Amino acid sequence: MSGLLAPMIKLSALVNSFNDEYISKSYEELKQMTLLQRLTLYNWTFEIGAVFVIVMVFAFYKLGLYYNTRITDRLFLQLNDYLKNDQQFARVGFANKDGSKLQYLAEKQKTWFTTFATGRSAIESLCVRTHMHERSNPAAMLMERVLGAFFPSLVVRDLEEFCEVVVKPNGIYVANETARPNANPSEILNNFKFVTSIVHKSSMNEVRRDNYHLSLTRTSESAKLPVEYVYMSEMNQLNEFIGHYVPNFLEVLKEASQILHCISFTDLPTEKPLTDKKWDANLLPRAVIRTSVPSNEAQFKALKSVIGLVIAVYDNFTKDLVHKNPNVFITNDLLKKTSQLRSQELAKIVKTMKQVEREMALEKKQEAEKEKRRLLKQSGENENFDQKKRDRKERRAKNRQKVRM
Amino acid sequence: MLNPQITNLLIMLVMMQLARRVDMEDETNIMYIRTAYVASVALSWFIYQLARRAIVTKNDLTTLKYVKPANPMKGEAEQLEVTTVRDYDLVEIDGAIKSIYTGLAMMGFMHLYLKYTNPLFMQMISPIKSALEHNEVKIHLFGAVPVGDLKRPFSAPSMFGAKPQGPKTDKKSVEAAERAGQGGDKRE
Repeated sequence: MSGLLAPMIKLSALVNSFNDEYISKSYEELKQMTLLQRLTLYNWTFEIGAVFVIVMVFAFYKLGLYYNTRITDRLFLQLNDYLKNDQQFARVGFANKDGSKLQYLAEKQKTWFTTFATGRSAIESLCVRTHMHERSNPAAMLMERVLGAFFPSLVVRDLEEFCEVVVKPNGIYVANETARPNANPSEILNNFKFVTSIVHKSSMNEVRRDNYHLSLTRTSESAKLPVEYVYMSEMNQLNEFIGHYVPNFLEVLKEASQILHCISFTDLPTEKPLTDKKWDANLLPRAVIRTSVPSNEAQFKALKSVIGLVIAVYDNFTKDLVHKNPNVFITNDLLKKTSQLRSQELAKIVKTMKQVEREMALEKKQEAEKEKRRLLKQSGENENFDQKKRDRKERRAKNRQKVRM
Repeated sequence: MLNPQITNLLIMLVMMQLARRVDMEDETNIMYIRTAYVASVALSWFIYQLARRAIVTKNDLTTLKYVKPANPMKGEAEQLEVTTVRDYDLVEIDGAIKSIYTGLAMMGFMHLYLKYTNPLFMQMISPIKSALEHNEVKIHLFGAVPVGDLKRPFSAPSMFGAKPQGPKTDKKSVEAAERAGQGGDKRE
């Protein structure tokens, strides 16, 4: 052990040796010296080193914050502009208490960024969340990386940089500013209960692992898709959903192949529900776009195109449903099949839940019995019981011996 | 052809006998052993990098689905893996490259800090042997066809000819795992 600590001891001795001369002076000698003499006698190397380290930490902190903000400033300004002017959202971004406009929210040492848009035909809301590395703390970042390389199971979700866009439909279609909205939005939203996605091949495992709704789908390649992508749908008939409503989706996919991880239309939760209540509470029709954080103009443009694609799908699909178009892609037969899958999954969850409840009840019963026994022992009643048991055992042993003889 | 694990064992035995005949205190011998070890590691690293380059150049995006066996040590159940041939190959080759670094760190500690030369001598041949016997090197550098033992996903070879334990690739197991709904587990 001393061998392992030797370098540390050596270093400590070296640091101490800086001020051998100062320490060798007696208290009286130091007292006779002026303040300046004492300051010049003292070796300040260690303190200067410490100050240098502090300055470096501060500089990295500021640089890290600056880098993250520089990327998100560009990203969110462009996105907000696109949502407001091109996609006609009524409200984009946030407002401060004093009424001033806030383009996006920055949280947790400027590692999480959020913007929000609402007020549009077919779309209830659109939320963009971006996670970036904690560049303001490079030591922690490096440590996480090293740990992640050697112990992958320790890596926490959301450690990587990503941009996630969640688009929620509202089942209301308004053709123009003077048109009246339809009165049956909840009825329309009942047709959004299915899971279909297009996933980049480099992210197949991650998206299935992180998203409950995708872990219920079948992965299938298609000659109709660019080679980098696969379909993940709960039924193969759903694969054509996106292409049916936006025929030029292939161009968008090709344009975004550098950053896109997945586009997913779903109503099932992202996190696996453990109870039927959680299942019911988390059923919500939405589209999820997950990408890397775009960092240049081409990637910003690609992200905007993907968002545009999803909004167009919702626009056209809602329009078909409101106008009762006979060529609507999601038919009642398809919905029956998807509803069956949901019932099966819910039954599985209820079964597991009941099993866990039974196990817990059994555990509780055993605990109660143990406690009862402990109390009996304390009161002394148990001794009589134990004595009787011992006597019975002895009698049996004697009987057995008799039989052998 | 002998099982690689058996040949490893044989090489180890031979090297042990040879190590007894070499003077490990002699500075000249130590220098030769160091040079041989570093050359062996560098060559194996170079072989892996060549294979890696070939994998990236081929860019085979064929989808690969299999069920990874359960790992009771980590408390993991059977898990579906959906990846591409390219990504699978990269994971395999990167694992091999990482094992070189781990080996280097261990040998560095034992030789430079604890002053043992024997482990360095024993490990002179195995890095190159492992590199040349690696499935990815066989496929991408020697042009072997990925069938039989080289069919992806690879199974770990068994030492005494027993049936190798590996990932399940049959349609039934894959389909069952695909719809099992194991994703989205909350991790704290």
